[in-house]
Amino acid sequence: MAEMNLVMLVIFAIFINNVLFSRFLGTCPYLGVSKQISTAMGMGAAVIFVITLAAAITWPIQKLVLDPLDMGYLQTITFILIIAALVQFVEIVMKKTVPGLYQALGIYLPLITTNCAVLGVAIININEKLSYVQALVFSAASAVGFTLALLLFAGIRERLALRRIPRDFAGVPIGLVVAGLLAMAFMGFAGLKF
Amino acid sequence: MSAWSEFSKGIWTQNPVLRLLLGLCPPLAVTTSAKDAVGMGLSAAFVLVMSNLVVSLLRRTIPDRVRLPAYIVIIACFVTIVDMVLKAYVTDLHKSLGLFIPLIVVNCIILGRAEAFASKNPPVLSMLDGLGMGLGNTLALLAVGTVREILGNGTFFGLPVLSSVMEPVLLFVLPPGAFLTLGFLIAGMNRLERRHAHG
Amino acid sequence: MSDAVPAPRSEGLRDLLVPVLVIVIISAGSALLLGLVREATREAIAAADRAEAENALKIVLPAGLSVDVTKPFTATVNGRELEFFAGTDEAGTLRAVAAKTASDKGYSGLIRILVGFTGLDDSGTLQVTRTYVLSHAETPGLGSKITTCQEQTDAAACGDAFWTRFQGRAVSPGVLKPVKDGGEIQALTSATISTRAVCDAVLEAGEYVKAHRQEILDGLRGAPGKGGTP
Repeated sequence: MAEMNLVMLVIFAIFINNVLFSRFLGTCPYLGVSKQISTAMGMGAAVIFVITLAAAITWPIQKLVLDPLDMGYLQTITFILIIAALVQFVEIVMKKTVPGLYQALGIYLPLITTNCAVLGVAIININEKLSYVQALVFSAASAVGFTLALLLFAGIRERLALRRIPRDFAGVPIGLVVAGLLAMAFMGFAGLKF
Repeated sequence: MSAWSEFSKGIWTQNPVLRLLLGLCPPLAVTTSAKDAVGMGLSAAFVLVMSNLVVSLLRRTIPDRVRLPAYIVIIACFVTIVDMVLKAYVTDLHKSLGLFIPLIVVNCIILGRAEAFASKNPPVLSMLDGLGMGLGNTLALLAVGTVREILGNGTFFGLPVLSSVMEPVLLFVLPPGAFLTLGFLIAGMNRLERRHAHG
Repeated sequence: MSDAVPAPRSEGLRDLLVPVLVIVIISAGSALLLGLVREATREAIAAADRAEAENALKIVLPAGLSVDVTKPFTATVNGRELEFFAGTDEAGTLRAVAAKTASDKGYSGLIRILVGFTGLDDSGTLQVTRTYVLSHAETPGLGSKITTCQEQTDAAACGDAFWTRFQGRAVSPGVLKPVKDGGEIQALTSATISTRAVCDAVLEAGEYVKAHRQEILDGLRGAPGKGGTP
């Protein structure tokens, strides 16, 4: 991935290797939040903000602190603490600036901490040896891909609510089946090149 | 609840993946082979048992307002231990599980049990809870992994099982197959529970 | 959760200090524990890493040669950095060279491969031992077949696996290209692009070895104790 230019990186993160449909990151919030397009949009925006900020902070910490001191093994602990702190911070800010959205997201906001996409992307930035700029772009684009997945799903779910589904599939199972079909659709993006 | 029921609830009635619907990322990501699935299950189980134990031991010491960061550090500690041990002694599993080993730290099952059980119960019961949930998680992972490996690759734990009967359906080892398999499995579980409740 | 009534000022500081202290202690304890585990596993991890790198080299180079993963000769070829590794026999003679290269002309992302060359005495006799794909993101079921059976070193056990099509091939554009493009390599069904990418990388590495044979040999031979050529 490090060899890609920024445009290709964005296309890659959103479509070809979508953080949810290809990498499976962020499945829990995806299934929980996307019942309405408006909340999906709000959640998506929050995730984009947190993921980019997390990348902005974790990347330099890795390169300037963990690597030189040969403490790579503390990566997991350090990164997740940074993310937890970041989410707390975002919560406080949101409560003051957009209280309506803050209420709407409710429990799902602190749950961004456990969204595997945030920690996952932060680690991928390091594993794939991306530069700082690439890492920021990739992280933001991944979150956009996540938001896209949320929106698609919310749109479908709003329609599903008007339909009859086998009782056993109600809720998460049908959500997974829809995700599977969307994942299949996204597979069509493989091989896209700029 | 008795010690036995604290342990056994995690396996079926309160199976973390199939009933509580927690920790759904690993069953999708690392189940392309039954071996990887079980490897992940056991690794997560180790972290779960140990973190439940420590959280339970420290439950009166950790102030309420920092309990989540405290749990996270404890869990992350054990996850890192698993990561290093696997890298040293079970390298091919470490390679297959890759990114998802550190991601165990955000597995909702582990944080969920620390918060819901270990913070309120004595150490031995907490360990049993962790053990049961860990086993249930492993079984769920194994179930998904088995379906995906047999149908998608024609093998089971690496041994060919389909060969002349039919060609493997590639879809199952790809992302869509993961979502579909897990979705159907949970639906199937719902069906069994409904039948059990009625009959 | 916390009480609705805010705590009085004098308690405020202690209210803040104790939680922070607890976190700090737990974090310190964890870091300590991890440091210990790390020391305990350090050797095993280093050995595992080394074994993995050596394993790929051993597959690609002729049997019986000893390989050194630690001192490659690096060279920039067409904008890409290639690493060359030596395969020496018991007498210490350099018998084969493995090139670690990559191609971005695959269907999907980078294809990293290791390719071995023998016949180093003369540019004319240079030939490919075999290839080994290190990583790729090609289409599952189609391009992904570039790795079929590649852990095996016995061609007979692998039928028409992709890697066997490169065995013993001469390094020349008339050979190391898909049949469609005028070469002799049979392309994978519905995976011409993946085939082309691998051929491309192998040919590029091979031609570099041909043209800079002496330089590479000197660089690898001089490596022990002299740090090799960066």
